[in-house]
Amino acid sequence: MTKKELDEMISNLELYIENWKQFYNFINLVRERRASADKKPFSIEEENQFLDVKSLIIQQLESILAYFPAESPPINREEVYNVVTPVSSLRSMMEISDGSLRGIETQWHKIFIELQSLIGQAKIERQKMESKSIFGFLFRR
Amino acid sequence: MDFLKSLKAGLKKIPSGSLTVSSSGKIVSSTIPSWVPASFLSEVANCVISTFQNARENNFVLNEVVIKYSNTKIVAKEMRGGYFISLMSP
Repeated sequence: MTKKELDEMISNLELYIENWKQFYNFINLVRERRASADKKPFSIEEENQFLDVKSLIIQQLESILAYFPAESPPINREEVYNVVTPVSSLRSMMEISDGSLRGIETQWHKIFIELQSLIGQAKIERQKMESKSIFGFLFRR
Repeated sequence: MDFLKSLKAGLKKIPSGSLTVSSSGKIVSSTIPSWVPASFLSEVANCVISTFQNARENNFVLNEVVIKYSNTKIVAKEMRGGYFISLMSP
C-alpha cells in the first residue's frame, strides 16, 4: 500500500468510526424515549435519518474492507450486520427487551474497539513509512 | 438546440438521502440515487464545508447547520474528519 492509499484509508476509517458512533447516538435516543413518561413517537425524519446512517455504515464497510485481502478481513461483516440488522427502525428498537438492547450495545462496543485498534495499527504503519522517507533518511545522516 | 434541450430537461425533485463527506470535500459514501449529478452533491458539500470553516474562522462553534428550502431541507453535522449531510424532502 502506498502512503497516499494509507492516508486515504485512515481518513475513511475515521469517518466510518464517526458514522458508527452516530448509530450509538440513536441507541441513546431510544433509551431516553423509553425512560421518558410520554414516550413520544419518532418522526418520519428521525426514522429516515436512522435508516440512512445504517445504509452508510454498510456501504462504507465495503469500501474499508476493499483495502484488505478478502480472506483476512480485519472486521467481521457478520458482526456488523448482527448489530445493524436486528433494529429495523427506531420504533422497533423501542419495543425490544432491555436485555436485547444491551446485547446490541455490547456488540456495538466490541466493534468500536476493533475499529480503534485498526486505526491505531494503520497510524503506526504510516509513521513507519514516514520515517523511511527520503527526508527521514537525510536527517538521520 | 441547447436551449430546446434545456426546456425539455424539466425540474426534478431532489431525493432524500445522506452522504458522508471528507474534510477535503470528497464524497466517501452516499445513499442518494446515482441519477443525481455528482457535481450537485459536491456543490452542496462545498457549501457546507465553507459554512463550517467560516464559522471556525470567526470563532463561532457550529454543531449543526440546517438549510430549509420549500421542498428540501439540508441538515449537516460536523464530525471528526468530515461531515454528515442529510437531504430531506417533506
